[in-house]
Amino acid sequence: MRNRRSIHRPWLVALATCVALAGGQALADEDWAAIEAAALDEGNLTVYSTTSRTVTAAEAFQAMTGIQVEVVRLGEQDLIERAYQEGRAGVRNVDMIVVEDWPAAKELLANTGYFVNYVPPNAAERFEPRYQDPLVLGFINRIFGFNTEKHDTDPFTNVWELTMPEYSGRVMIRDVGITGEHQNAFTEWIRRSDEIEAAYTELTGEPLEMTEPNAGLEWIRRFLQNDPIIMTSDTRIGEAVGARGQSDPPYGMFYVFSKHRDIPTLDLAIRESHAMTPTLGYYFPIVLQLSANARNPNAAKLFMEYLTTIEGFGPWADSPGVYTPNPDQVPFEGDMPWAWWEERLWGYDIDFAVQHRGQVLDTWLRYAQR
Amino acid sequence: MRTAVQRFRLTLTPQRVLAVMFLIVLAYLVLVPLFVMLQETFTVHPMERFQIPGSMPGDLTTAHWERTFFGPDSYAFFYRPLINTLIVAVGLSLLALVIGGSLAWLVVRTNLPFKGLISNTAIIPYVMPSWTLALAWIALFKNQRLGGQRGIFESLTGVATPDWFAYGLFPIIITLALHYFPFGFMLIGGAIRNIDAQLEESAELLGAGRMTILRRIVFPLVLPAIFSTFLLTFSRGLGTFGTPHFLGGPVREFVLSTSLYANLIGQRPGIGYLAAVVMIALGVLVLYMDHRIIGARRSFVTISGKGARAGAVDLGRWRLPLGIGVLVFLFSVIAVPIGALAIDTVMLRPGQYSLENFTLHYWIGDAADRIGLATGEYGILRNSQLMGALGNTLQLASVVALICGVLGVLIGYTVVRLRGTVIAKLLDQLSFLPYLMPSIALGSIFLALFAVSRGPIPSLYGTFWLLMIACVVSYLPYAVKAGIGAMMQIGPELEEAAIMAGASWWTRMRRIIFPVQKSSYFSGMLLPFISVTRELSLLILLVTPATQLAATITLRYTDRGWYPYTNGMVLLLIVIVISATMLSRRLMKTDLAKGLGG
Amino acid sequence: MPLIRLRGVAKHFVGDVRAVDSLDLEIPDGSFTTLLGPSGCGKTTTLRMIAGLEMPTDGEIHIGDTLAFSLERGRALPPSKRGLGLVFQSYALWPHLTVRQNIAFGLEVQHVGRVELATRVEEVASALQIDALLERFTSELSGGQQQRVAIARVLVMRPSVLLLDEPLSNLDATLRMDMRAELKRLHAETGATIIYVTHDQLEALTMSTHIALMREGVLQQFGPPLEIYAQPANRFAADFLGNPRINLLDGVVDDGAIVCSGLRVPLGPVSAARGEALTVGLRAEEVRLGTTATAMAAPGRVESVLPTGSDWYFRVRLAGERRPIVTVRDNDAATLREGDDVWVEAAPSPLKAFDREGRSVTATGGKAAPAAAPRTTVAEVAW
Repeated sequence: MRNRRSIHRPWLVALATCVALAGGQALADEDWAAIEAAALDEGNLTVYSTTSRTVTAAEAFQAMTGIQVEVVRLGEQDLIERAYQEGRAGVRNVDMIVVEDWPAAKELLANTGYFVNYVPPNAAERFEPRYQDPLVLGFINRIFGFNTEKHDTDPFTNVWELTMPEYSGRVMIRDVGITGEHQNAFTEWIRRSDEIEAAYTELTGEPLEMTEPNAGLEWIRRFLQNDPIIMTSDTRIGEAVGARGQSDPPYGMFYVFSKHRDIPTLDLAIRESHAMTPTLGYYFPIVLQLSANARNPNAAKLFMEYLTTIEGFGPWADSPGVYTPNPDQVPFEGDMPWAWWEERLWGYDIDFAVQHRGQVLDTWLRYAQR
Repeated sequence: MRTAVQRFRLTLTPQRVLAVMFLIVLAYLVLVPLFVMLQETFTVHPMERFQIPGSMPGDLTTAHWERTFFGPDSYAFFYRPLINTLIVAVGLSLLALVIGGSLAWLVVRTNLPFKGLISNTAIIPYVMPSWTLALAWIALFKNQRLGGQRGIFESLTGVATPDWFAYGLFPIIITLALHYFPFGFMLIGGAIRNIDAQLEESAELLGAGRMTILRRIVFPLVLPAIFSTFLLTFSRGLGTFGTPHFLGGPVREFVLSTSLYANLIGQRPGIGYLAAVVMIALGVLVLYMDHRIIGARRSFVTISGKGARAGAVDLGRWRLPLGIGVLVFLFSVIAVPIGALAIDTVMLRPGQYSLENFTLHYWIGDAADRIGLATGEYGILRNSQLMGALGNTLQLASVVALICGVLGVLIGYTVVRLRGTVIAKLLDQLSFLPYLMPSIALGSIFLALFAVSRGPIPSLYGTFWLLMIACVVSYLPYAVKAGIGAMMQIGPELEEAAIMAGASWWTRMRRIIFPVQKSSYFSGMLLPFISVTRELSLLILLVTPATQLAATITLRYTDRGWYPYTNGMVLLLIVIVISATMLSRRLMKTDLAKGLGG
Repeated sequence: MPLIRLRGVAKHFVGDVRAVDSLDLEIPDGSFTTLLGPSGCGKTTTLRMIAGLEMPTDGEIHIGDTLAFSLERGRALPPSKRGLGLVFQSYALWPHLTVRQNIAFGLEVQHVGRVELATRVEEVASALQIDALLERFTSELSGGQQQRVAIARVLVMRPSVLLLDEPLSNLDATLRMDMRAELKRLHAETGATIIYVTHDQLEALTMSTHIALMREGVLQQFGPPLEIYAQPANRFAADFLGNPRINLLDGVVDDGAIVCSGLRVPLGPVSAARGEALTVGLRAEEVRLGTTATAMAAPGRVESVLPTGSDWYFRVRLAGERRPIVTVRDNDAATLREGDDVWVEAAPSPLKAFDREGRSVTATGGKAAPAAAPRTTVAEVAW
């Protein structure tokens, strides 16, 4: 087959170039009205999502446009595994994904060509360019928190404090082994290990003596050797830290800030740290990607457009700790605006994360075992 | 040559044709996944390449094996979790044996009161998801280490439980044993029931004491059942993830399945599957030991039905206290966790247990954004999505149970009819193998296998068929064990008599073989049914929007902390499964024990 | 014409276990032929091969004019096409069906009309006196009743040959006696050929017109029961048939008699070389006890007296020997008591003597056709 075709290869290449050029042009000033019409024509789409908020957004979208949205709620690893296997097999099942572990998704889904980036008109107009590729639906904060019945003010100001005896057996963190985002976040501690190291000196006045290759991994080791409490869910961390009437409440690390939404309903006494250095926690993007092989590309594009609007982001905006790049968004009551957080939180470098998260996981597994 | 061909042609009996067919199908559905899994442990995956210098995705490598078994960190990565795994698996098996065995002896051989009630309820702990017990344990015994509300035990007594008691290997073993002891109860109970009472009586006439009889007569006869129980619970202990992770994490005691999950989530399947391979290998090892030690002894006792039951052992003044004790025990392992689940579904604001906080909002409420957890969801019973998923679950469970049942009959028939031949042994062991495979690994391999069309098999991805096949393969061991057990008891003459009468193979299956052991086969269907209703890790990768299942759909509530919905769904499933069990006990005289080959 | 003919039939299992080895047998039409032998002799395997439930590894089986099995010609007639009925040792009654359903099953499978089916079931049930039990489940029946149902289930198909596999072994002693008579009556009434498998020589002797005695897969002797009793073809046949067991005494030929421990057994017309070592078979009734010495008698002492009511049995130790002890039935010696000294005398008719290999030197290959069983046609001995 391939041999026979190769005779015509120059032709094909020429043709493909034309198409690509035409496509590129169309992307620049595509006919949004035509897309909308086509989307209504398609009438449905399938979304894989790591968050159930997508379900709520989809219902509103459906009510508005009449386009049926099937949202499949999957864990981060399951979502990527599924989309990856489908891509490999050429199964056209999903039209777009809402994904949180972007380093892994980029490596397995975008670089392989199974998914492509798409910037709908609203995002193109309002989002800063750095939030357009990949298209960021929003950012999620993961923070340090403490019990406000015990502490009026921030109890800690330096991440190294958590490796000291006074915090032995008192810090809760979701198992890094089963949390891809944590693995990504800690790669930033490797990348910026000089800042981590400086923080140590700042706290103790002494140089950091390391047995690990860098200060980030050294922190992980010392933290694990300081008897942390490893949990399976952020919800339980929030409840454990914030419950009232505790004489010696635990501290939460890297749990999603959005759990603070439950403070009134659960009557919790919990607050996020605003004093921790060098970072108040970390943030990570929720990324939207379009299937390169979508059955309903136009409906997906329309849904993406909807999600980038204030209205479409509604289900995420009902709690603190989640922020859209859309500058029109008003922060959740009592929460700081995104710009404030972005200054004080570390994100992570995607490519560096892909390459180094294995080291994080290995260091974690090496010392996590008691 | 000609006679050889003739001989071959003449030996093409239905059971041989069936055997070959099953071997081919099972080889594809069991051996191929196993092979793929092994292959993956020798392959560089995209995210793994950064830690294997100079490698490209898809390369062949021994790095995963070296790292796991011989690397400088192999103790932390592998051996330490392995030791914990073995402690858990052996500990829970022994404990499950002791609890299940004593309960079985009390019910079958003594004049214990409340026998009917006890034997009906003793299987319920297995019907409930294993993590309900883990949740209950934490709620009861957690201490200050875990923060939050105080544990119930501490609230009542003021005594804080030590860490080793509240978290880690100790409660892991206890809670898993409480979940799996019904295996021991059913299998050992069946074995004790089959012992000819005269064996015991004659020992008694010779002046043997009660303990001597137990030790010298009963125990050896029950040994095969004990090994069976051990094999079943041990292999489950190897692969289980949820409970050990939940209870072990707070004190950082991890098992081998952690390595499997952590590396899969870390996108390093090569390393992850290695843990699965080790689990399978350990399971096979136990299976092999079982065959070596017990093999010859496992001559199936045919129920003769004659002779009066042995005079029940008189427990004397211990009779009532023991009966009540057993009931209290069962009540606490069943009602406490169920109650803990249930109470959360009727408390408007979680964790505040007072009468004014009582509500049915999460069951029948409107989609409200202001009440309670403000979920904006309809109550469970009015939630069409949840009810639809529940319907799908029931449909899948019924279909899988039915297919497993039919296959169990046919494979059992084939294995027993060809007993002693290599082909029967192969078939027997091949159909048990899926039991040893961790379901998360099986799920992702099925995804990889069936996403593409291979040869005559089209891509089944996204279809109900794939869910069905995965579940059937996964739960076939139960049905086949039941099928073999049942066939062992009917002897070939019943079928031969029908052959003599001129009944075709199909007529014989339909009118003789199946109806004779109907209750056993239905029992063999019950366990797949129960297991499907709560299966998550096997199916999570394979479900599609159209086939959302109860277990998978509740994930969206779990991750937002909306436990009333999760718990409510689990409760509904428990209720459904228990009613199905009771109903089939009534209608079909099923006995779960037969589903375990007892 | 012989109805069932086995030629070179063999059944070898994996590992060269020879259940049946090159069996030639012709079972006459209308006979009541018993396959007799100790357990593991291949008798049940033979029956099952005739029935078609077991595939021979070699040979041919003819039933009437039809070739039922031939390895060479690649033919294996399905069991139901052979016109046979088989009653299993365990009866193999279907526990989930009533007596009526059990009996009717075969007819239903053959699509016999509803009216005819009912009539035939009633008929056979009343013939076997189980008509009152038709609506019961088989587990509610006694052993004897189950037996009848099993037979009825087979007879309703009107087979020309009835195969019975140890049908009486599960019954208690009295019931067994009754059933023996009943089976004989059944044979007489139906005129069907019956092939009957048992390890009980008494059953074989009392019921059969022919016995095929087997041992380790090899046919030892075929013939009418009394012929085999009187003229066993070999030591095994002599030993297996008869109760009490035959006395086998080793002796040496000397002057027209075989001398065994002093007892002289007359050779009669049989010719044997002087000094040849032979074993003599003496039935209990062929030995007499006397109080006075004769030329042929040997001295002995009564070890035990065993009266059965109708008969007097004695165990006598020949003088000067630890063995043999001879079992004797002599109703004229009723006055003897344990410890009495007696003279033992043998009068075998006919003489049964065996060479070193155990072959009979007196029976003429079993081909003698004594008046006791006039219907005998051919009796072949396999070796």
